[in-house]
Amino acid sequence: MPAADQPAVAPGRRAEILDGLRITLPFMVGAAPFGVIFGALATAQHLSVVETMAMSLFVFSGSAQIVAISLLAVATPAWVIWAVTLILNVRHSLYAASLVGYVRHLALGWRFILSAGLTDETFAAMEDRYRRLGMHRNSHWAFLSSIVGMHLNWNCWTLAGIAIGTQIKGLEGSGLEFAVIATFIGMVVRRLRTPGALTAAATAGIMAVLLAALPYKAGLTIATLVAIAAAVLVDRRAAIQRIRGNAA
Amino acid sequence: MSVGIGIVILGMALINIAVRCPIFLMANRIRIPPLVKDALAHCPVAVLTAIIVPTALHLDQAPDGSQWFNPDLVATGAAVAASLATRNLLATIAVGLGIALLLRHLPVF
Repeated sequence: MPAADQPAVAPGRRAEILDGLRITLPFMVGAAPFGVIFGALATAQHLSVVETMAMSLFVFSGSAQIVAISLLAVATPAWVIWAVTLILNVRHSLYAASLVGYVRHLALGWRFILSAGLTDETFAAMEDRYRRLGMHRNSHWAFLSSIVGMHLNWNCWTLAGIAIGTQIKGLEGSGLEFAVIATFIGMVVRRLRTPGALTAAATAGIMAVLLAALPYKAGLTIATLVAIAAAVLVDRRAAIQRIRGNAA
Repeated sequence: MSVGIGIVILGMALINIAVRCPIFLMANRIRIPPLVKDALAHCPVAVLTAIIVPTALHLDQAPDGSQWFNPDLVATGAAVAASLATRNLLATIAVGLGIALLLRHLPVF
């Protein structure tokens, strides 16, 4: 770490831990409804308390968990659920790639914990914080407290969702499952801002319908891969045209 | 915990570690090519749309497409409209879920 990045006096651990929680708090509030939705739906799909909590403790990924329970409900084979988890979460490797410069100097154990706990929310909070404040010898304590805060928050709200799902019988088939699809719609629509993203969505939708009859939900995986390829082609074409336009 | 679900959860947990950890652990030896970065960025839209559309058309329940016009399709349309109008995730869920519940309990379909 270059010495120039260090303020004259680095804030202490305690101050860093508190600030990490402070910048993560809005995200913790935002994640609460999804924890409840996940807990309640998992209970409605007959997952036990242990199974539901094990997902929130060890998988720690809202979208993957919600997709997994909706796929488990229609008896999807494990490999399809794993493929979908991979496709949904591979973006975290991008987050790791953009934060790696700030953790390079840390011990291996620290780097493992900080990467294993990385979420959309902690990435957003910490990337912004590093940009604003730079880094110093205690910065990683804020990173850690952001992760611990998100994790505790997610598990508490999952538990609340389980309690709600246990109290209210007949959630299954009530129409409440649509909360999952509505969540996905919101996640997709706000990303549809580039020709590449629009291509990905259009291709995935059409291919998924055409391949819907394939066994083991194979159509889902194939449609996703074809859509990603189509989107990359569209992006490349746009990039080449930009370069040509600049040259002319 | 049933063995089947236990294995599913274990696999998901390992995948999540596998996508997050290697870059931090091999901090000085990794470069991601721009093409791969671009492909990674499109993953969520692609997989989520591939789940949304067949579900909205009830192809999981009727693969021949005989139930394509159903309450969930209307609710999907409403959720897309709400999302475009508000750009807000919770508003999208509220509108989509509200319409889905309403149609399920009204004798429209």
